Amino acid sequence: MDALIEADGLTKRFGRTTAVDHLSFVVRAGRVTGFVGPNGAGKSTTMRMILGLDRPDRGGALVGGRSYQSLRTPLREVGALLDPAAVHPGRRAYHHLQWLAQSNGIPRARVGAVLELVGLTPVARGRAGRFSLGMRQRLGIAAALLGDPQVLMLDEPVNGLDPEGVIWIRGFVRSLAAEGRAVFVASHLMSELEGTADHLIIIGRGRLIADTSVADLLGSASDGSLTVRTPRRAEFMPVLSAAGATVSSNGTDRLSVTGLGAEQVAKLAADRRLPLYELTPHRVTLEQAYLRLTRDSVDYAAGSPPPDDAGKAP
Amino acid sequence: MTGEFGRVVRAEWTKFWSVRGTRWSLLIAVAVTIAGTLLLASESNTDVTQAGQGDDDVVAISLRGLYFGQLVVITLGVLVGTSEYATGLIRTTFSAVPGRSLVLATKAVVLGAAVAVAGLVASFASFLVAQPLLQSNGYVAPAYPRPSLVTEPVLRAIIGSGLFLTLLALLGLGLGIILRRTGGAITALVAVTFIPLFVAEPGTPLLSENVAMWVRRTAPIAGLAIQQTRDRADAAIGPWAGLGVLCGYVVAALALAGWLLSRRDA
Amino acid sequence: MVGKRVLRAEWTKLRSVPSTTWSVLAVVGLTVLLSFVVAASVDTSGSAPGCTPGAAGCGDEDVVLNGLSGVVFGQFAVVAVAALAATGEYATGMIRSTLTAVPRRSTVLAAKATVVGALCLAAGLVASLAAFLVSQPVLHGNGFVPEQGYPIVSLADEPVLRAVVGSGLYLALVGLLSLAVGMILRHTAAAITTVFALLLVPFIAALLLPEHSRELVQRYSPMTAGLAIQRTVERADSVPIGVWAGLGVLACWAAAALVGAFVVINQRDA
Repeated sequence: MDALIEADGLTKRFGRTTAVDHLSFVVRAGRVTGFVGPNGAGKSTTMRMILGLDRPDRGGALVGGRSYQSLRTPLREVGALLDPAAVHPGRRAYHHLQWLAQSNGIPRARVGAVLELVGLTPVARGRAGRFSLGMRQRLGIAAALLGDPQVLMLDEPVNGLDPEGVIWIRGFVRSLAAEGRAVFVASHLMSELEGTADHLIIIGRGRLIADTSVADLLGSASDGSLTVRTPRRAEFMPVLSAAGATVSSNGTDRLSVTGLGAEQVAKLAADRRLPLYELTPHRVTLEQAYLRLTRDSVDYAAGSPPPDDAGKAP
Repeated sequence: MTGEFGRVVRAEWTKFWSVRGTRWSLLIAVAVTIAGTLLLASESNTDVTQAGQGDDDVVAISLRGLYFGQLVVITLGVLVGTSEYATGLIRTTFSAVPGRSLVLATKAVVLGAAVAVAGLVASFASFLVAQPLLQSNGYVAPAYPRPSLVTEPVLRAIIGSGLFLTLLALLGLGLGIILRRTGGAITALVAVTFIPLFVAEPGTPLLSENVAMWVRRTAPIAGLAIQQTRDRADAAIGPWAGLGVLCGYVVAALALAGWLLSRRDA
Repeated sequence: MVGKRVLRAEWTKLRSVPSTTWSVLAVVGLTVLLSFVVAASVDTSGSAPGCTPGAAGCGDEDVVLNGLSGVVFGQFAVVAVAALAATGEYATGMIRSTLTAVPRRSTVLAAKATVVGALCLAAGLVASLAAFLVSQPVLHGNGFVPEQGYPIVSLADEPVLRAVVGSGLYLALVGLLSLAVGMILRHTAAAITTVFALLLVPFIAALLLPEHSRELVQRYSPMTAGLAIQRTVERADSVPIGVWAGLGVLACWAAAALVGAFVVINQRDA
């Protein structure tokens, strides 16, 4: 089947609050799609609607061209991690995976295999109530992988994992996408997705804000400026201005230069035998680009938003 | 379709038995029923009868422990319905098996089978254990010939008692899914089951005779009529009719539960 | 003072949960409902008109008891709300926040008991009073009038007042018993079932046992002894224990459970 998730006009209201508002997007195979938005933006609700758990007030979602409800063995097509706490505390991890496997006719050997994959084999016989948050997270990931599905939906998979686990899951998610699966990862922290996601679906207050590749987002956010450090700053500034750049001082010995490429700046400095101690292109992080985009859509901001890092207006 | 049903039944079976509390509940239900019967049988004697000499229902007396066992079975049934809501596991279940009526049906099958077996064990054991006690208490021929296990009324009473416990557990399951709250569902079902015993028990009814009779006919506890093996003046309803009343409640509860499951968000 | 702080916190916890409101409404509603039904259906059949009170089969229905019979129905809701006040904290893990905020565990338990007991007492008094007021006119309509040997009773009569207030006390004690069992068992279903077993099993046993053992069970079990407080007329089938002694038996059960809870809460991990 096509590894695809298609959402079309999904809308969900709880009382007077519209949690998801006419949301439409496509998640494709072979890449990691990040589903990003501030807390309360509607990410979990959207995922639940795709899985047929919550009924949308309007619109619908298809997985591989079919509705989730119509799938005979859904775990073999879609693996989802929604809530790591959704385990019976008195039940052993092994049995939790076993009943899931049985419900979809998945061979018993897969239980041991996924436990091995997430590193829970030593505690397979332990009761889920005794697990730490990280262990329960791993158990949830194991459950999502049980049916070897082509589509994976993970809601905050990095939550609760230690640094080693975070690195592992980033690499793991990328390898799953490289195998041709569609991987849909929800997160409220852009920094988690940096280096992992290829494509982003950004929502705020239930509405789509951006549906873009990571490269495009970074490209549009960054302004191509350079940071230059030289002992003869005052001398260099008019030189750069004359060459057509916009220059401003930055701290005690830095210059911020826009409008010229790094090679041109270096050549200008070399022609006048001006030493350059630093020549760095200013890279916007994914987080900065994202914050800029969602500034107006944050429901639960603590105090005023932080100033932009470079001190420059967008 | 049977393939899918079989799969989901197996999954629900694993879920049911992989929680320690289930085993204990069934054991306690059986133990309480047998212990209750023993206690009551050892105290019963032919000097004191509810409605006159020589017409005690020996078989029913041997199954009286069910009055106590039903409390445990109600709790178990409710828990099967509500525990997944408490932990949020219900969402995982519905992502694995989107067919919600199928999930309800398989839960009912698994719960019903387990309680039926436990109930039959409890009923048979109660009956067998009570006989010597009752004999030594004066329930002997010619007024009270020894009841034989292989006769129709006796078998009906015993098997029917097992069925009674099963139906009560299923009623708990339905109510648990409808209310989604453990405390509320157990309380409601225990109240509905036991209140008739306060107000409508023959001999000391708080209600008038007519109303009491009506209550004993229409309350879920009418199901205990299945234990009757003698015609007595204070019998409110026939054995199968009584069990049928309880059946009606179960069907209504499970139907409502199924309808709500399909309508509600997970 | 630490105690006052903790009391206020526990009260806020209890009243800010929707199930508390429902339960209190259920206590009153169920009590009044059953009392009304009993009052509407009971009649004076068996007594000839104009016979003198005290004669057998004549004028010996206990109108006050009948009017308060709904309390056995309302107590179910009391068990639910009180047990949940204890087990709800364990189910959600909130108990850790509670014990971090107030490390003295005995203080927490004492505050819970006070708050839950007060709530159940208030609900119980309202329920009993309402049941009494609703049932008496209905009973009069059913023939329980002075001509039949049933003088009109009112709250000004000492036995009546004792029965009504006592029923409120009964519900409060049942609440305390349930709270204590909830703190000991920490699991909602187990706690509720255990309290119901404590209350109902002896009652059913008493129904099914012959005379001598029945009286023993009725004397010492929490519900049958406790309900003696409602009695205003001595009858052949009355529970063989004094009205206040009976309530005292229930109080002993509640006290024992509370002592158990105090011991257990200080021993265990949160």
